[in-house]
Amino acid sequence: MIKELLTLEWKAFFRSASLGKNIAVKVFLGIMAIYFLSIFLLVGIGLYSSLQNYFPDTEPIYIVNKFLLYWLLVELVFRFIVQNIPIINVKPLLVQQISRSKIVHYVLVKSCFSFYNSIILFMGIPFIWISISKNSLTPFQFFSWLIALFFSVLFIQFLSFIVQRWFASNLKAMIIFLFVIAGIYLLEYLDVFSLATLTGRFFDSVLLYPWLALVPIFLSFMVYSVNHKQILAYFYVDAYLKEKQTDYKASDLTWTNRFGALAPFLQLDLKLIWRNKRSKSTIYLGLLFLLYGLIFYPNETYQQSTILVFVGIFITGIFMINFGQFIPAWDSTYYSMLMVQNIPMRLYLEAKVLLMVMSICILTILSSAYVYFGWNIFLINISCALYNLGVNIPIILFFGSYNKKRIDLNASSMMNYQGMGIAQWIVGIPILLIPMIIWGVTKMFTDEMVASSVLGILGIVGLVLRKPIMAAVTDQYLYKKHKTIAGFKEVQS
Amino acid sequence: MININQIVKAYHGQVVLNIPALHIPRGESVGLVGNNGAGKTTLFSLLLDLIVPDSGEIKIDGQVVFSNDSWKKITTSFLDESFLISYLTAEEYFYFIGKLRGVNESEVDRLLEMYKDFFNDEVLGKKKYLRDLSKGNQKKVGIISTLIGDPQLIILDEPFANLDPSTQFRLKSIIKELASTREKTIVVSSHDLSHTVDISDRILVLQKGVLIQDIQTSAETLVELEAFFNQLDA
Repeated sequence: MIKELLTLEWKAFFRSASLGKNIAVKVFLGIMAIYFLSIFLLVGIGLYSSLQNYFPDTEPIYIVNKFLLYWLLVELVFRFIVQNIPIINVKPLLVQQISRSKIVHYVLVKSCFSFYNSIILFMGIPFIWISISKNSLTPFQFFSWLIALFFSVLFIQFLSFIVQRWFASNLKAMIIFLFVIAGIYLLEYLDVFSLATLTGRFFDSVLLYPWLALVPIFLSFMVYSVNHKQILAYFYVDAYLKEKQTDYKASDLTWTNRFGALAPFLQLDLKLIWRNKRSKSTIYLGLLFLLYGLIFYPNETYQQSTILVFVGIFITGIFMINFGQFIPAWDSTYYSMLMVQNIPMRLYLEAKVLLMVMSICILTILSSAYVYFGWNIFLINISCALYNLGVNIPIILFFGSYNKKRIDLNASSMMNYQGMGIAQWIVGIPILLIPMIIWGVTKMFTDEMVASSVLGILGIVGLVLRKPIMAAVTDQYLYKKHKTIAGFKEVQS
Repeated sequence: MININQIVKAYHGQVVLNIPALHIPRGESVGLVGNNGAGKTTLFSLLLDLIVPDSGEIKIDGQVVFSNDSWKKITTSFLDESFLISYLTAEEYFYFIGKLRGVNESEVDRLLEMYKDFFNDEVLGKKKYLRDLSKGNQKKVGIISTLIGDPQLIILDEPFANLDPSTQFRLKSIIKELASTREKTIVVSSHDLSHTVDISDRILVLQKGVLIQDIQTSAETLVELEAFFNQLDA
């Protein structure tokens, strides 16, 4: 049974239209994985001695325990952003002689073998190994600690699935969640109630009473069953229909008429974004990531650093990145129809460009509040915005012409959640790295002002050359038209 | 109107369509029949430049279809639900198509008024997105959308499938009315032999990618076709 399901997935992967791209992506991810795993391994090995240096009086493991809650929170956030809810195309299997419960178990257990779960092991095992040799506690006690930690991580993983599903069906819940997290942090900060110390003390006790490791094991089984129940409930074809059929909300989009020929496409795109969960979240993410600057700007060490360019491009361009990289896949379900209509490809693309331009302008205006942290930051952001407008938009569009993966807008949560896996962020690398390199190198030979101006000028050049650039991008899309149509016909599984 | 010349299309080494020559003049109403896998949808996809032929060319109104845009002004089509935009209401979809074809909203409304009966009060004014309509109603929207903008060539792939019997009859009368003016070229594929015979002047029979029959409709055509498919290897 499991063998059958595994074979199905194997075939699906190798027979998909985007196999070449998938393999390249997987190879790249594989190399990154090896790189990061070796880093974690080194951390695990070196952790004991470095902790001994900094805190000579305390056994390193007790120090580690104090910070475990923070590690678990990082894991939660990381999994939420990067790890996809396990999915499987269920419709063809529904009427077959496979027990639905078994299929769900298969999918969930498979996720336990995720690469991300090995991180904690790569760090924990060497650390434990060294601790055992240098400490009086028995190996059994240390290994039960490791097991407790591992199952806590599994608990976090399954929790992140539940949270992701929760957000997918109710975007506003994200705000509630953030408030809760902020509240806990505030309590910690004001020394009223420290969840971190509590977690620390729990793990300390696991060392003394190894049977306590059963608690995280039990907790992870609990969230596992919650996941199982939730997924099973959606194991019906009309699961989507169970969610409230959204009522038609009339929207007044007559202001788009000022854009002339682009108006019908603009209206269509706005309706697309607003009436579909998957695309709507790009807006919310865009607004949410405006706050990204708060992580970097207050910190003195980051002043003058190239990372500011990353932040600038990211903040002003988050919608451009999230929306732009899936052009034209947003329209994949009806791409054929658009291609048989009397629509010049140029117009179609220009409407998308207009949307991205508007988003960059809005985000730049909103982010101008960051001038509070200094005029240089404001300047960097402006030049990043210009660079996004002139250079990154055509780049993203160009890469979009290679998109062949269909996006089913109707698919909401559960079985068809096409989440943002790590592969989706790869397109961000040239978008973010290139301006960082340009800025950093220029700054080395001149100064910050000149570096920012260079980015800004490149952006202006891109804007000036908009016509020929768009002509070239349009030709590229026309060249790829038939391959794109064929790829979009493939329903994802 | 349509000129097909030496068209060959193959998938994985197997030829799925091979038509040396086919000419459909203006104003003709053509029915395309054939068993599954005969190549009907492939032919339509080639006509609309959705797939590329391995050899040969197709011309609509004298212009080559491949990577050309001029035929789009005079051609409308509805192949399957992938031609619908799921998150629009029926009216919004019609208005959108109208805008693309240079037809303003009031003209679209007038057209929809003409075909009110076809919708049977289930589609218009319901404030429902297309994705929430039944398959049959979605089909109705797609079919009527091909009538917007006074097209000269209308291509419909199995429009009768999924329609209830009364709607099928209404569709037949709509197509017959359009064909009667002899100004529009209409190409319809169907598995329903009696419907096809009823609405077409000319019937093309495809079998495994090859045109095996090309007949002008007459009184005996239905009987002939039925006998033909009865003895045909599927």
